[in-house]
Amino acid sequence: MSKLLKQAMGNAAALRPGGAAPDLSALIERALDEHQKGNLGAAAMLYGQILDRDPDNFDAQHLLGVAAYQSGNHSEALDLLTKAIKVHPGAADAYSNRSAVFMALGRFEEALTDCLMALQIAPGSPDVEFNAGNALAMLGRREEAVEHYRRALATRPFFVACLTNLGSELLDLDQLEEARELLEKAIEQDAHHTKALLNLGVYYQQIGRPDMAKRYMEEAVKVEPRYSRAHANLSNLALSHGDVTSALRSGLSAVAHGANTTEGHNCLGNVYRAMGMPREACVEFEAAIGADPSATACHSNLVLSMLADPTRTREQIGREAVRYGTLHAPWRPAPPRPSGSPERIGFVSPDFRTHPVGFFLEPLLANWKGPDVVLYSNSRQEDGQTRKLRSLTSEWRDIRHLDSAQASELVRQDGIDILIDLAGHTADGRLDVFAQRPAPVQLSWLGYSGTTGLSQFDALIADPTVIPVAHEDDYSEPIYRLPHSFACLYDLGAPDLDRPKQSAGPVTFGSFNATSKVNSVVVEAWSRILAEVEGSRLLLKNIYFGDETVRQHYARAFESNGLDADRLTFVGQTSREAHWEDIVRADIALDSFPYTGATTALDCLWMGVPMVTLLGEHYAARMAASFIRTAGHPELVTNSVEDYVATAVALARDPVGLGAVRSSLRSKIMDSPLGDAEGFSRDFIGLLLEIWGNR
Amino acid sequence: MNAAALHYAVADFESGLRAYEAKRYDEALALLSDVTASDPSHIEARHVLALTQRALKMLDAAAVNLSEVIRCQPKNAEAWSNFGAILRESGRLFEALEALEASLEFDPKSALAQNNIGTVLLDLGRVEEARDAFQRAINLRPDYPDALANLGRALFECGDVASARQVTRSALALNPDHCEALNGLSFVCAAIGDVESALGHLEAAAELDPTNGRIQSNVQLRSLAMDSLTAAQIRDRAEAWGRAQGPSRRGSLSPNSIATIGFVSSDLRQHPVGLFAEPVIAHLGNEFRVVCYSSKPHHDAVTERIKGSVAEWRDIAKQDASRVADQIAADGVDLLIDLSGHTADNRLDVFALKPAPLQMTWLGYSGTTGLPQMDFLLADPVVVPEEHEALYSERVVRMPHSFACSFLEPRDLPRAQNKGGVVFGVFNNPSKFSRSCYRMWAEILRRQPGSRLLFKYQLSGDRWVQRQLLAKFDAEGIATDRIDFSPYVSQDRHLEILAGVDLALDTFPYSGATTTLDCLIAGTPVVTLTGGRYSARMSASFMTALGVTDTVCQDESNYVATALELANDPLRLNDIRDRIRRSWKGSPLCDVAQFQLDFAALVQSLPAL
Repeated sequence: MSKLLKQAMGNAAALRPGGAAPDLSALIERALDEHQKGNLGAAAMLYGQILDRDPDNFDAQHLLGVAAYQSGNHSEALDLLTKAIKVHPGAADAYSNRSAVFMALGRFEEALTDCLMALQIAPGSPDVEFNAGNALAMLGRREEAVEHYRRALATRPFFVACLTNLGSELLDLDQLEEARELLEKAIEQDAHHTKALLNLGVYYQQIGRPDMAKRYMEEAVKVEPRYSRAHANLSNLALSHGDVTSALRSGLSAVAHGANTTEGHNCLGNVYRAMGMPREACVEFEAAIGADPSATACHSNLVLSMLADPTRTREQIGREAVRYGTLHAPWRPAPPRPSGSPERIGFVSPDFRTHPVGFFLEPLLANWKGPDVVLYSNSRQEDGQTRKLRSLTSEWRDIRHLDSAQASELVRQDGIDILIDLAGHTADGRLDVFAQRPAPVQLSWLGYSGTTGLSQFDALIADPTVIPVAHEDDYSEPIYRLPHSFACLYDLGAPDLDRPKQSAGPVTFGSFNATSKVNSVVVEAWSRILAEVEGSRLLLKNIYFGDETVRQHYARAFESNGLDADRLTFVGQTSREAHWEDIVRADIALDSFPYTGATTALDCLWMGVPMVTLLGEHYAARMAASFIRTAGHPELVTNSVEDYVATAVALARDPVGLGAVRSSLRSKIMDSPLGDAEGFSRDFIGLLLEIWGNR
Repeated sequence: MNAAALHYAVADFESGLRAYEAKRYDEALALLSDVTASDPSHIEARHVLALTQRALKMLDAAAVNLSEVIRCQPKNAEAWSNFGAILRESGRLFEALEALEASLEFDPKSALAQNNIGTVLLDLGRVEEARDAFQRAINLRPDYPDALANLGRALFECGDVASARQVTRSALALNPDHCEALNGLSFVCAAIGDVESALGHLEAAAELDPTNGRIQSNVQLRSLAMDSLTAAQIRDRAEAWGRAQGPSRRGSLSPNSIATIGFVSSDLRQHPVGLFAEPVIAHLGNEFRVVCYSSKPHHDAVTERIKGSVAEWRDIAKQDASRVADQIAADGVDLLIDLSGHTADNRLDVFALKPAPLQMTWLGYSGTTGLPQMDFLLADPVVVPEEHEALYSERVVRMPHSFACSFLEPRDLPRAQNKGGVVFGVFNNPSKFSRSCYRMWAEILRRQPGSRLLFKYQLSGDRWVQRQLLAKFDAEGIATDRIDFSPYVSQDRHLEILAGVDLALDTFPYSGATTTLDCLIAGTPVVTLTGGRYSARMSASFMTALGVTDTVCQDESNYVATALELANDPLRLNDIRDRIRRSWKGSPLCDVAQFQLDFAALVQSLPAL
């Protein structure tokens, strides 16, 4: 029996007045007895009888409500407890019990109000402080939750559930060491407290000790094999280290036995994405959203996965993105645009580091002749590239721990005129900040290759290839175009070209794109190419090809298309130097579709490896085409799968032509607009001014 | 009351409630009336009874019952909200607003209440407040397609077309079959000159909700601008709609003579329709008993003048059609004149009930209503020549010269001094820009190097709308730096700008009307292409009445050739300008007194037809 019920009954016994009629007290006794025994139905009937005779009997009303709650009849419980409170507004227990019902109903504001009421009447109760903390935590009011948890622990220092929840909140608030202390204390009290074990695992993950993280998380699932969230965390941890095998196993465990948690479906979705199974990934992300419609990260994952799904049209993608925007970023009016020119530009990203966005940004900033630039970083990771970018800009702000209101306020205080989003629906993006509309002009560029679906953007910066005029209607944002490509070449740090212009032996095709972009339709096309070019091989390089499960998955996929797996060479993650060596092992690069490469396209072209690409239906499906066209090789851009296969095969059969293309690629790119960082930067700033002027 | 009766009353309430929820309103009415009769204190029953009565359009009874509910439960937010809805439907808009605001007081987080307040504010024309209310609604509940569609509409009315598009797309992302959102999106498309998409969205909406009169009317209106639809096709559609309105309840004998005339309009104010109709109404007011039925609550100085010239003025905004029809019949109206046709806020639903023995449509809509109950369409010899009569479901009667008479005097304004090159002007709304228009204008610009095109319309200052239009010309290969957009200006400046272009280009198949008159008043010739229907012949009608028809063309190549010819023949162009200026004096186009007499005579002639 719950502690609260015991307390309530105890109080009821104490309140049992001498004034009650004798047969009524007998009834109350019997009812309490049945209730304590767990015979809720019998108890309820007896409480009912009491109320028939004495409709304003607080105890009966109150305990009947508690019984209803215990039976899972939450709305009934709510009615009954509300009536009880009406009868006797001064009973802390009644408020406390009703708060539990509100929590169960997901009505956290009301739960909080009741907790605070109970505390006002009977201050200091650790249980009620704990409940208040929980309500606040659910409302995202972390600092206040922490205060209540601390008060509970002041009275009851070994309150395990409270230690755990406080530890969890402190982890989110980045107060890691204290979190660790509390969680260890909780586990000391109860070595099998699965939530504490899991959170301690999360702590170790955050400080970069994956081995310890894994240990604690595995302990949690050992204690409770059906602990979906712990499995999900294990899965994410494994995936971040390229261990798809473990990630898949944990992911499947996370959704096993009918578990329907957001975390479970989300982590499994991530695994499927890593295995080049976008449709399956989308199914999981949709289930994750179903379990919790407020899970914006899962909704973003869904939109992002749709870009890689060959069965989705541009219209469907646009519509889902708009759904995201509608549900999570309701329209609001833009702040007025100040007169005059813009003076301060903000970039928002979790990727000011060694990452495609971090690379592409460098030439723009290095050649920037315009307003002041402020970088708003949403990441803990910093490296040499971070330092480079910081050195090119005026100010740096860490917004990792700021919620959307705080971050928007910072942007406003900083007087930002134009705020640029570099993440969209990719991991750790801050669309929530843009939703608040802190800057008079907001735009999306580079980091997310598609429509965000938010009405808070005044522009999406594209180019004539990635978004032609005819496609504009499926994009929420007004489209503005740079004249050539949406990005220009950055310093790849690649070696000089010194390999022979014509490689000996059979042709090697290469793919350097993420596995998430290599789906079954792509595998089918590549199988056909290899079938037609006798003796050719396919080099497949990506971090996840270092995993056995992934290799087997793709080997089977190729085999089911009639291609012998020993024509494949799998390469996992390597050093940057080795990466360039791997690229030049390929004679011809094969792009993925619908989601094309971007940095991989530049990498290949720069190293003299021509890339064959399929021009698709939406931005993400047209990026490589944009670079390849701007680099001066429109013949490598194909318009159908047939054409794609034919072009790759023809190129493979024309060693002389291939050699000519290869030897001229680098110089051609350098001479093309892709190599003109200064021009790009000028065009970019000009476009910003145009967007500003149109607002 | 004894336990048995109480039990019986409870049972009836439950069944009454079930009937209401299952939309079996007559049954619910009977059951719930019994309950409240036997137990007047049963508040819940009275509340549901009121809702049932509302569903059955017994609005007065519903209002009475709901007031009683509120009297007993003054803090019942839902009751206040329902009361507000009933008041709105009764046309009692200010009271509706108060009731809804009370509802918010007792339930501040009600997204529904915010939405309902917004709709009443829209009815009252308070568009910015409406926008704010709808925004509050979606912030309380983002997953609210109705409020999103309404917000889209409010944003459009505030002139923020780009946001209207965003928000309307949001509604459709949640519910692709949302009629109001599709309707809203059609307005956005029309505003950026994409007539085909506009009609496409409307047709989709009409199919989803065939009983929605507003949407059906919008389909008719947008069809006028479609160059791919023939006049016969338009008539057929209109007549299909007309038949669907059902037979009229009343039969009435045609009167021997007209004594009482009614005008039904949403535009008896500072609006072209109101301004054109004013002198006619005033004159008729002397000879006949004139009653005006205003279907929109906007009032301004023009409204006051018209009010002062008629016997009765009735506000019928949002009122149920039968109620309005009853009022018209009670007023003894002999001839009821429609000034809206299928334009916004029309009351063709009232005309469908045939409250007056003779009904005529004039001025506001340039086409056939398709309504069998509409007896006459008032045209002129140009907009509807004899050979076109079969294209109109109404019987065509004609003013001797033009269907309208200018209420403005011609102005002596400085002539165009465009040294750089010829400047063509398009002064019509983008909702009239058909494919033919883009084709003809692009052709003209292509063949007249150095020429420029100036657009001026209500939203021509909006950058986003400009970008959309420029994209259309870009697609035709016209350099967008040859196109200018005029900002929004006052009426005086408006005519100056019109005078400042060398030549105005009319739209086809939906020609200008007021805009053409304005050009003629400013002395600027208008190249127009006539077609096979009223809406394509209005400019021609004005120019014929004026007596200067050099720029009235019969086909596309003629239109293009005429524009180019005049662009390169300044002497001839000036000659036409001079003749325009000279022809005003004494022309029927501005002879208001004669127009009034002709109109009165025509009215007198109707019973005999």
